[in-house]
Amino acid sequence: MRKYIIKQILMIIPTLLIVSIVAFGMIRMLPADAVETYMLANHLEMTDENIAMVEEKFGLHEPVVTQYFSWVSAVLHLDFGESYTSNQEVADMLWKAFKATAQLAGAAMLWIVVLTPVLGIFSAKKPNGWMDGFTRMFCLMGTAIPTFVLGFFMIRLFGVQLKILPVSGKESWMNYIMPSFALSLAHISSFVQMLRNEMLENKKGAFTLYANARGIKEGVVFRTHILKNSMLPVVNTVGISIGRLIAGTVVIENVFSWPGLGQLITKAILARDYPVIQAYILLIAIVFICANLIADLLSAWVDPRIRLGEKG
Amino acid sequence: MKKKIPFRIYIVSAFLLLVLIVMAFAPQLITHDPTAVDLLNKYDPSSLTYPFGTDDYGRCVFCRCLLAIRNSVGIAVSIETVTVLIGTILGMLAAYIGGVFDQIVNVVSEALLSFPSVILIMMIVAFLGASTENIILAMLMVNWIWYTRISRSLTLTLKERKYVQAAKLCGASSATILLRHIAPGLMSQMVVQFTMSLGSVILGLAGFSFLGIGIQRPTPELGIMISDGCGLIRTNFMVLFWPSLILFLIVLSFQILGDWVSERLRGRA
Amino acid sequence: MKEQLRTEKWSVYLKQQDKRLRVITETDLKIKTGEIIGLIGESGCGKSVFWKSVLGLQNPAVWELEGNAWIRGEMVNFQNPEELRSMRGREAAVILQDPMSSFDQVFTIEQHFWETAKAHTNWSRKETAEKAVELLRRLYIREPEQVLQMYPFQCSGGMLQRIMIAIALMMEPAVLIADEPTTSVDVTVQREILSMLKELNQKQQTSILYISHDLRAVESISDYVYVMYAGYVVESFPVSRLKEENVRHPYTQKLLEARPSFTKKRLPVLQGRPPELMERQSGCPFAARCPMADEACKTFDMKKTAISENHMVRCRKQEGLS
Repeated sequence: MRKYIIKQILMIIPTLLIVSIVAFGMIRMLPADAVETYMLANHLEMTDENIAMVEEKFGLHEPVVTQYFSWVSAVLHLDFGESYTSNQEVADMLWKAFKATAQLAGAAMLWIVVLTPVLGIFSAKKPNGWMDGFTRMFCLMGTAIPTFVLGFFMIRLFGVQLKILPVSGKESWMNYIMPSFALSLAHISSFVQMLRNEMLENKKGAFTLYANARGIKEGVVFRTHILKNSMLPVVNTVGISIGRLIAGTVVIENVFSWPGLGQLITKAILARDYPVIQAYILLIAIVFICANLIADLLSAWVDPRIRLGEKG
Repeated sequence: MKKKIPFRIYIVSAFLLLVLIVMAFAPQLITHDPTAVDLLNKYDPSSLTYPFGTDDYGRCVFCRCLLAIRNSVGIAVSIETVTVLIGTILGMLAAYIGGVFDQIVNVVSEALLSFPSVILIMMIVAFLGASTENIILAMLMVNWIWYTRISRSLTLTLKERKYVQAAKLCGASSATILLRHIAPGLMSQMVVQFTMSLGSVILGLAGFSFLGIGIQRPTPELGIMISDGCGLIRTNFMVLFWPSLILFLIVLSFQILGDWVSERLRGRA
Repeated sequence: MKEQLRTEKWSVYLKQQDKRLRVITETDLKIKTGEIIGLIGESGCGKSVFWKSVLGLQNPAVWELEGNAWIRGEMVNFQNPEELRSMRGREAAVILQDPMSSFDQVFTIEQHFWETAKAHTNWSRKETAEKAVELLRRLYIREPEQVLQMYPFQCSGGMLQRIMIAIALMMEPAVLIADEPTTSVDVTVQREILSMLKELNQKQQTSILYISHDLRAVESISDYVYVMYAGYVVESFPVSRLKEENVRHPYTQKLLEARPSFTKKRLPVLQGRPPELMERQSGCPFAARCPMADEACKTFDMKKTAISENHMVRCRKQEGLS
């Protein structure tokens, strides 16, 4: 197990290296000049003097390789520079937003972890029964409804008409209900469909026949063999979805005015705030790498075939 | 055994046909200038003259919706069509030529696949700047991957088929082999993939427009209309409701159609 | 000798919308203590359906049973799911043809033993493990304590097959049903499994229903043979009569002819295939492939004819010959 973890962690290094070069190079190759954007954002006059000052400030007069290394060392010290638009430390802005987004994603994960097995099991227990019909309808709707449409409909119904849930802000746990559910719905839909198919497949599997032929109670066969084997691939996908949840908050945060990464990056893109965008790319890459790592470790933990290696 | 076409497919097809008609004749169907501001006529309720009422500028929501359908669906379908062509051709060439070219295509698509397409598209827009052209470009740059992968793997198997080998031995040129013998074999898979992804492409485009990094105002578009209406959620929900419902129904229809088409094809295979 | 398993006029139907397709027709089969019964036939002739139906493993919404079955002299009540469940694995245990996929890959061998014991007894986990070690040792598995802690994917096919036998024997069942246990393992393991089953049978008087399409395996292991075709037992006889001059049904004769032998003659091939469920018509199902068939065979009611006291055949040509 330990060897497996170390191997997985070592594999991260080249990916991170590539992402850092891309994030760095992207800003260097900008069609719109970074200096110009900075000066426009700060209402500086386009004089040679000012340009030289800004170039000096960004270290643009040095060779590219030196710039890259000084950038990397700054990044390693969590120094992403200042935002063009607000003159705040990018690291601070990003960290605050990340916390808000992570909380939202965590709440969405809760929905996923609770609803996926419940719906999946109900629907696979009696295929084509009314529960199954309901679940399939739910999943179809879940994949087809745009997140922002769902968000607005929920706000209108629960926030404006019934007045039982707050529509914006993040003060109490009540604030989390709507955005996290809207965020999780599409994920739940695809996981439930996956779980249902796996279960129906495993129900026909040879190990189910063998377990039944040994006289093991039907409920036990379902709970242990069918459920566990069907959960394995879903667990991995759910693990990977952590990254997708954090990256996917863009729309929902704009609907519910959630002060997270999604709102930050939308504003940054519209204002061409490159230091923020650059830091965001790095952060998302790290989140993704971590999510994949967690997914792999989770799978290894629950699946002995991965943990011990096939044919140990 | 020929399977009966389920009832829901008839409904969905009828609805999509209606969408198609709206797209084709939108300029003829509208009764009011969708951009004409009439502040005396703000927030009219539904009536015969204004079926969906009017918005905060007194513009006819119904007419705006018709034009928005034309733009949302039209642009998304065009993007998807070009993507299919690019992706399929690239995949065919990669598999047929092989070697370094194939390796490059493979590595690039592999790398792009490890991030969700939404993030990639957003980053490209961030890099190029938010505009209608750039969102189209960004979606093209990201969406080809799936088609390339499918067409590449299919071509790899088709390439080994006896009739392709025979054509090669007869001295057929590479272009003939690709167009006459391999491309027809890819068709059905590509059609399925195309119908399956249409819904999500429409959804994606509307989402980006909603955020302000997709299609730009004043082009009427469903995502933009929803974004414009979201300030009215407490007071005039209907302005927001109609474009939302239309978007949902269109995506749902494509989803149902896509599921059915892929089921049919899988049943045949 | 006591009877361990007996079926009488055992028929199985598959319900399809408005139709009721007969899959197995009036099978009379019995296994006495210490006997190995061979059930032979091509794939798709109903061998697996037969054992699954006797164990009540099929969904009653889709399958319909007719006739009676006795285990250890007691009639099985197919209306009571709980009774059926407790009979499976305890009174009639199975070993299946594909050990690799029959074991749940994410559970250890010990867990497989334990869940089986838990379903039928109130043994403690430790007790079960001790019994398992003892059984595995008897089946020549080295270091059984370690094997118990292993996962199925860490074991070889032959090893899993023996573990399956061990699990089956743990409850000391009346009859051990082996459904093609040698098809998915290589030749040396096949030999091993066959000799192991034979040894168990001789040492412990285990009754075995050996289901196979491999005539040679059946011949080498069984005491009595049933030949199944399209859901009918077309012929049954003691294994000593399994010779071309002794068997009476053309299908059995053809099977014997198609058996590889060390002669220079070219091996005749049995042409065609058994009829699919939907294709089955009245009359003798073998008529279409039978060299001796005539028009009357197509309306033959498949009545049983006794050649001798323990040799039965369902063939019109044999009627009145006995």
